[in-house]
Amino acid sequence: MNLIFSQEDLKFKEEVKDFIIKNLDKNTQKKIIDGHHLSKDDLVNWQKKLHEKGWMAPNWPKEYGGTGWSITQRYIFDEECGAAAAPSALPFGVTMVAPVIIKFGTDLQKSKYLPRILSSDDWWCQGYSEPGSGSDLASLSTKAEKVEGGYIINGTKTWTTLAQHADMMFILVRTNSDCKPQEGISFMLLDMKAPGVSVKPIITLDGGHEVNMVYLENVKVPDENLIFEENKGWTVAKYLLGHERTSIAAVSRSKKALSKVREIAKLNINGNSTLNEDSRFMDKVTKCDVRLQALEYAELKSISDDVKGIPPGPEASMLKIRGSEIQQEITELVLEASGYYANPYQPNIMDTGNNEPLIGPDWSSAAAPKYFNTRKTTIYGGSNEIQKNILAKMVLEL
Amino acid sequence: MDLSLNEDQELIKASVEKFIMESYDSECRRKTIKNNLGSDDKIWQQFAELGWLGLPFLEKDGGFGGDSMDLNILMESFGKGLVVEPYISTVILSGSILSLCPEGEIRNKIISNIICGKNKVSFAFAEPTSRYNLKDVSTTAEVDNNKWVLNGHKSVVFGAGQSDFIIVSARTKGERFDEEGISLFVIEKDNEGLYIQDYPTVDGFKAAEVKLNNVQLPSNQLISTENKAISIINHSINKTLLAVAAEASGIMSKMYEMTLEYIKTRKQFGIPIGKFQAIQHRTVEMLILSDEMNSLASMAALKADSEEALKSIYASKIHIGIGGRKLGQEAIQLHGGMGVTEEMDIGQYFKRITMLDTFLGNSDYYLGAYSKLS
Repeated sequence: MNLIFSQEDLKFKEEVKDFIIKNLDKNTQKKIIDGHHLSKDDLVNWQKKLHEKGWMAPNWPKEYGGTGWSITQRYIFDEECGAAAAPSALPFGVTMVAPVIIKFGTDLQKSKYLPRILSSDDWWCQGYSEPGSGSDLASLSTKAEKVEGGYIINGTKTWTTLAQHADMMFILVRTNSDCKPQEGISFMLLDMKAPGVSVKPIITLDGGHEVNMVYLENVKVPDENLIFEENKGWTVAKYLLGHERTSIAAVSRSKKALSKVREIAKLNINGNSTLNEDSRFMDKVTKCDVRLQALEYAELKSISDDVKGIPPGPEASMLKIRGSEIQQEITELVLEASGYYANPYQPNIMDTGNNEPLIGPDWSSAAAPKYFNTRKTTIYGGSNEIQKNILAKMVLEL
Repeated sequence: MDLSLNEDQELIKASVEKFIMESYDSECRRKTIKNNLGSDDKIWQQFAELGWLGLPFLEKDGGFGGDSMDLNILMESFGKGLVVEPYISTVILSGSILSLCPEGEIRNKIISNIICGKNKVSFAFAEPTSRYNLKDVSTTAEVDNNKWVLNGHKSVVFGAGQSDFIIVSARTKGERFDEEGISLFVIEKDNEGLYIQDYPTVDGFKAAEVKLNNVQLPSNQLISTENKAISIINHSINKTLLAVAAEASGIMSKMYEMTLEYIKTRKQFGIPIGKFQAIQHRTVEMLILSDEMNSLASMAALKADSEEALKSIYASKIHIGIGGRKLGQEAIQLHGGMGVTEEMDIGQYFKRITMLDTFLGNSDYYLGAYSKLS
């Protein structure tokens, strides 16, 4: 066991750095550093660059277009992307539905969807939560009725991230109501342009439009879009959940954000001193850093297991809990550092074509909205309370 | 000792609660925010008629001579109703400054115009890098031909874009961080050389960057004693903190109530989530945090004129930052996804309690200040 980089690894690191410098759009990078929302184009442009280089899918097997990287290379890639404030690829396609298609999909499903995920020609969204089914996901009631050649879907999905841009949705639907809730669910692929699909924005606390309600009214899904078997959707969903594990902790991103806090603390913005000299503030930064170091090691262990093909265990829940808390803590620190300049509300200030002058420093221009918005991390992806339930049951065996 | 409200206080409480209940619902508040004018004229006029605009002013200045507890009662209800009208910036903060300045024609006129609802006033003190240090004043005022000439940049001045007058702290003597040498000036909104860059704040209020570029003022617009304004500023800030603490108390108790209601009605796994012990304990913790805020705000109001005033004022401000933040985060978490939507009112309260920590010094700042008190 060691954490040493070989000469080859160091060469790879240089290659990643060089790639990012040459390909990352400066405005996109600045939005990430200052905590603003990215546009669809910001993200797709970056993903297309990754695809050209063959780096879109570090988590896929090589035969499907994955990178075939070692654990060290994956670590280096994440680290460098985080450090350079490069976007993370949208997870719904490449990280979430793709491993499911690879594991359970038919040849037709693989050949139809995987290349379009790699090339970012399809934008995917996730149809899980419903107004009455959040933490209790298995109670979902969107109904799929079997008809000739496929299914007719009726129901409402909610908190659907970036569904306004989506071409496809992977969706959990109820195909049987006369059994245990988990046993009557199926996993399907739904065309967002099909008749009967409508998307309504949900505006979040920061004023942003990230999530949506998706209404499904007599939407036809053909048989060929069923994944695995009818009523086996819960098995598929559990498999997917395990494969979310490596991205969920957001370690490299948090490391970058925390180093930014340390930079801010060096500025002369504190009356007659810097925040650096304020041990009350700096102790909070350091405490956060300590937890982040522990999380980094835990994440590496998890990636290492993944590379060796060891199936994920409930430790993914620990990564999610701490990773989400740390993301929130960092936004708190930036908010605190901002002082009065956390107050001005300036949405869309970073959008292309906007020439209005910024109020206050760049780094504080989204501090409060970012703090508000980041409350979501302990709620989404299975709330932290649900993660604790999982750990209590699976690890503590209570 | 008697901790129950007297008859007058019961009357204030009843009148403001009635107003919030009947005339200030969430829709009305959201409308005011949307119109982007900082307040609703009709509502502001009602404030005047109900006597709230004159509440903290002395009777000799035409006010009602309300004490700190009267103010506490009013502000707690404003917190529950999440009032966005610029009451704190005009009546409390600017009002305190004016009240403490020596009597004079301009001072007296502005005070009576505040009381009748005719004028709004803002106090511009913070500067881009001053953070919470009130002595960090780089804005200058120099005499030229019997006039004062002011230059500088004041940041995040609440209500400035909608105010008829801006009170500005400026340096008339000494170096940037000196306590001595700070003076207060009143500037009319359309004075030449005054630039106001108005914007909404993240919690539904209005603020502005105020830039002074050779603003010329006649000598009577220096309203404090020359060079000696720091104690007026400190007193006014402390008085404002009493109001802020009461507002926070109202916000926190309302957030607790809304969350309790939510966990009783939101069902998952076939039962209301409030049936789960993990949720119950967290909601009880919210009750305690809210109760602590109420205690600290009340204690600060009662001790406002005693030797221990600063201790209890600072304590209440510290709790806004620590307890208020914790309660706010828990309220959102227990509301789940609904908690992060713009549509649900809980988020509106969350934003306000969050931003109150940044106002007039955050919890870290007052932890330091408290520790230095003997």
